[in-house]
Amino acid sequence: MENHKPNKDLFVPVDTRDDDSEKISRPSLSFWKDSFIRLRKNVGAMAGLGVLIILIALAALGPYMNEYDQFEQDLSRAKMPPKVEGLGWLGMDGTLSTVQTHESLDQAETNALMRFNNDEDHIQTTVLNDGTNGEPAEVEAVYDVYAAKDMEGQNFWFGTDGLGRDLWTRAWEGTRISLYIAFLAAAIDMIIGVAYGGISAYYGGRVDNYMQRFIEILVGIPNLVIVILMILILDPGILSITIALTITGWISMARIVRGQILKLKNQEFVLASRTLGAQDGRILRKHLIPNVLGLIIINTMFTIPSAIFFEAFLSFIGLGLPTPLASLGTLVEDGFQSLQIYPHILLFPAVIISLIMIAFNLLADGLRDALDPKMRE
Amino acid sequence: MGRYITQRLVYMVITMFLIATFTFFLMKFLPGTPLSSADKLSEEQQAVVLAKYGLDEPIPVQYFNYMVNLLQGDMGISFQFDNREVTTIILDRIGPSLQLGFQAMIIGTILGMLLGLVSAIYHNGVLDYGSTFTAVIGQSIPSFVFAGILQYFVGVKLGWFPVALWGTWQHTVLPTIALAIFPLAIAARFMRTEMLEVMGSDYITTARAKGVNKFGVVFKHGVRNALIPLITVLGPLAIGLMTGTLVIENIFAVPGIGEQFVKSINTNDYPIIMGTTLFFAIFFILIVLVIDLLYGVIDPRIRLAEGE
Amino acid sequence: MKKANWLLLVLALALSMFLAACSGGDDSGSESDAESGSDGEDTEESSGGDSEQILNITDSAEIPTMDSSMATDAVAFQWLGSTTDGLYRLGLDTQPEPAIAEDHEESEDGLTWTFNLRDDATWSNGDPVTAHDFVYAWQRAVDPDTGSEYGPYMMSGVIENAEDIAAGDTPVEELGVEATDDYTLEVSLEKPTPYFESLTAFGTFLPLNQDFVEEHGEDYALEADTLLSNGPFMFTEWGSDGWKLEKNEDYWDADNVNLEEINVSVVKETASAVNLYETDEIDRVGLSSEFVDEYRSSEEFRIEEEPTLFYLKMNQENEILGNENARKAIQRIVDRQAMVDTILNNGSLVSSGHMPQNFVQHPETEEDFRELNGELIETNKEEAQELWETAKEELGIEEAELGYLGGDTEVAQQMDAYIKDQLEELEGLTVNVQSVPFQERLDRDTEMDYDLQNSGWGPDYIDPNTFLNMWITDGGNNKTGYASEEYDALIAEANDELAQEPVERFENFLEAEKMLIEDDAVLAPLYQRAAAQLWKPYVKDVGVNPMGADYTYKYAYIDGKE
Repeated sequence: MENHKPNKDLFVPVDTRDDDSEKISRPSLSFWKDSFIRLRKNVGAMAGLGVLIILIALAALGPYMNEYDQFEQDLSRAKMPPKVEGLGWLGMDGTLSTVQTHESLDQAETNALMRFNNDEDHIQTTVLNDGTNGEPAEVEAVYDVYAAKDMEGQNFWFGTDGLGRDLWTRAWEGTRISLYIAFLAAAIDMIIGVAYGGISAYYGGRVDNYMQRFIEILVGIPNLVIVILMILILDPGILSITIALTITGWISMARIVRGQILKLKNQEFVLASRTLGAQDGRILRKHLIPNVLGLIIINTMFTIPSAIFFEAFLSFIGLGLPTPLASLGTLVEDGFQSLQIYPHILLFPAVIISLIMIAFNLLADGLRDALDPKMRE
Repeated sequence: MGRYITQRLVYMVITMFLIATFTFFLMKFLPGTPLSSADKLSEEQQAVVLAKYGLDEPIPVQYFNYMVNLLQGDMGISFQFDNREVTTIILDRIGPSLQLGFQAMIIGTILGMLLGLVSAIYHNGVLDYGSTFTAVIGQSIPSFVFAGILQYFVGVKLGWFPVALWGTWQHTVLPTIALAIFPLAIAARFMRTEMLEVMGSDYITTARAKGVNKFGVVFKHGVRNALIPLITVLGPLAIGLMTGTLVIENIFAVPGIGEQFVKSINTNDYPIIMGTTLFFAIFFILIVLVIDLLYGVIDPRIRLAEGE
Repeated sequence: MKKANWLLLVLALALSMFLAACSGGDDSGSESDAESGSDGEDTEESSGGDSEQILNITDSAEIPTMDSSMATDAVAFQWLGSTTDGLYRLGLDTQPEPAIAEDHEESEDGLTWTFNLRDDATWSNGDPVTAHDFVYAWQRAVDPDTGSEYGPYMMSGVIENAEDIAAGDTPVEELGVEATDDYTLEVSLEKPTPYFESLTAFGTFLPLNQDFVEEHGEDYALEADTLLSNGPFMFTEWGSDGWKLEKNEDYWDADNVNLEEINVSVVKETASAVNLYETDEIDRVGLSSEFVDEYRSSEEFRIEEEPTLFYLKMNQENEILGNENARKAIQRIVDRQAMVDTILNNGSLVSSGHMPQNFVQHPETEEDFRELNGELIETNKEEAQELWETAKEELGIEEAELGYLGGDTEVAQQMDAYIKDQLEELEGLTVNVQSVPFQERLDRDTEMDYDLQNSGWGPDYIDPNTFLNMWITDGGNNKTGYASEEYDALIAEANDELAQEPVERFENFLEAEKMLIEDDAVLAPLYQRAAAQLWKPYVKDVGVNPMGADYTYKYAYIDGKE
């Protein structure tokens, strides 16, 4: 075993440069820039964002895309089913259908015709079961409403409601109002809730105690009472509903932020920062809030449905927006009454609500992943 | 711990007092009297009715009387139901609401937690997308629409459960499902977020490095830490369920408290509104207390009553 | 050890929650089993074999009170009517038929009515029903200390001294009602009242058993066991989710009562009620306009006309509505036919006056009041616009803004939106819909804090007076600011000098209606309500009443239920 000594000639001194050690090999990115890049890579979030943009665009432009006004009534065209040229195969062909069952075939047929006022010219009946096999006879009648009303030139893409108002226009007008309410609620939640929860948890002790008691008092009073008070003081409308949401909406955010900060504030990095002389405000802003940002965003995304739903709930108990204003909530509630008979009145606003929710949720998830410093590569 | 609880109980009493005061004056601020059609009454009679409800006294005296009665558990008599005590009405109706609320809460949160767990464990997998989608859908459909659909298809078309009314346990099935959807969605999403966060922490990596298997880590270390924020939302969720039941109670014709509450608002029945408000308040404050205590149990890092 | 600690706690907690839930469930389960167990059996029984005489129905609200002195709403009057017989009750033909009274004599001047009571009627506690029960009940209703709303309202101006007693000026004993013996009741009226017979069928005039009422004091009529019955049915259960009536075997006319049981549940949502009907849980359901489309062709579909009118009240203290032409324009602008056909869609009729169809007939020719006066108002948009232009000129305005207090029926939202839209066809008019809770609406009406109001009125007794009397100057329910000496004179004359001249009296009312609607345009008539319902074909002979209790179940029976 000979000990090989490497030849000194094998080593050449590196040409050292002063700034080399300081060189950053990857492009310098701020926290937010970095997050945005990661967000862009998230397919789900981008899809959500896309859907949201489309919905917002439709809310902005939809009402101008046909010739109907959101308040224009015409009882002669009430409860028209949806009709879109070329989408007949989707069921949007402007017809209503019914299946009538009766012991005798004739009676079943009579009933099927009677369902649509015996307007035989525009009813097509099909015998599904002639009753000879021992079971009651079944007759299906398909009624071409547009032809019957001599309105073949017109298309109500989402159909019409009980007053003959165009649901396409109303749906997008309603989306505007609902989005407005939702965004406002979310913004207020975030600002007040985070500030309140953060301060309460961070200072702890007596401050926390008083602030929590105050929250308990506020939450102990059911929202409804406050809403009703508001509606009596102000005129019922968007403003009073928004104020009502504002007054109580931030509470759950405050509680969540407080819970998180209580958990975080005794951790080492906070201690370190404090030891280094950081001000309270700085610790809150730079160390604590960013660490609960994921939760804040998720919770904000939860306020959006709850704001929209709260508005719907108010409509349901008769305290919603004054008629004839439309919001997704009032439209859904309106459609709910005829869920079993004219499902199209409910379907479209319900789908829009669901799309908004899903989009916000996908986006929220993406943001959560993107904003989480721990996910940084 | 004992001292802490006593302290909290004292605070609770103060809070209740403030809430009672606040609601009382709020109600005085609203228009309306127990005289449902005052025009039909002579002045003499109106005086009698007002006296019956103690409304003829100056407001400070009314307030004092209300508080004294409240201490004795007497919340006055209802305006709309002649001679009926508010306490009796609330007690009569609290059963169905509590039962539905508890069932929905337990089924909702447990299923939701499982869903969230599955999501987190199989992060970005098919199961994750599947359960996230379920949660999102559950949260996206207004509960009364969901209730209507359930009632029509499961109740009428399939005939599996009674479509409405109250009585046997079968009657509770559909309203419970309709109610449970929301807590399920909330629990699933929170659980997922928290689990992902926890699973990224150092101590999990350490545990994994020490050779604990995946599921061991999830259940021994992960779930416990993920529970804390989940528990925070349970409180508001519970109170939300309480008031939220009224829509469901209406649809399924359940004789619960939420339905009564809205009716009282529509009829300006202040004694019932005040009574129910106080009841909700007590319920909520108790839940907050329990949650704060649970914090300490689950996460020893949170020191109770710190700084006092 | 420490590690296991928290797990254990969480487990215990979860478990205790489970247990709480389970035990809660069990408790109420077994409780309601006890209650509704019988329900279950009954439906089983009824579904097999001969038709069980059980009627299952729903009501849209809880019973606020079963104390006849305190009752003010349809639900209370319905169940009071089913459990208690007054002097008379409404029969299947909606005419008063003898109940506790066998017959009565009227004095020449129409001021004294003597009722001869049957001696075989008893309360469900065994006490006989006597004339004293009526005296007690009527005195109690009118006594200001009772705080009854309907007592003074129904009796003032009808029964002697009622008005003074209600005002607290005269002792209760002075009320013009006396038991000359146990089975003879003598009533002294303030003035001849032709409709007094139908009035005695009204809830407020039902008898009360003094001993029983006083024994239970404040608890009277709060529960099934603090209630007494002398009628066809009696309460056996009464909870927050509904109530149950059973046949009163001791009823004097028990032989004619067929139903053994009536089960009532409270269901507020129409769709839920329809679903219950579809699953055969209930025997009758009211339909909203959407469901009418679906069920119109069904054999079980029925339309029931009601004598209830809906109309726009116009507050004449408002500057614009103080103008007669403006009011006439509003009367003519709303297309009510389309409203009735499409929005209500339940058989409701366009109303063109202030008297419902088929409610009162001419005493001699038997012609309907409505037929005789014809259509006082027809929708005519052009005429409306012209009137409106004139009104604007007279007022010197170009634009106008009016508030509109919405209705509180199931179709209120649509109806309000429609009426707003129709009214705004009047050029330059803006209508602001104000949706407020029902109670708030009543308060605003009382304080005349409204411009336009969608309002309804159902009769308290079968006489034109019930619709027309309310519009006299400062009338308790007027609240429109309408004050016309001529109108007051017509009504006063009808109720005083002409009280015993049925024909002239009727003509006075005809003229009064014309004045009210056609000349003075106090109200804008909208529609006469009807109810679209589904009835199971096996439910027979349920009486439908124009006033008081909506339905008479006394003669109802179930036949042919499988």
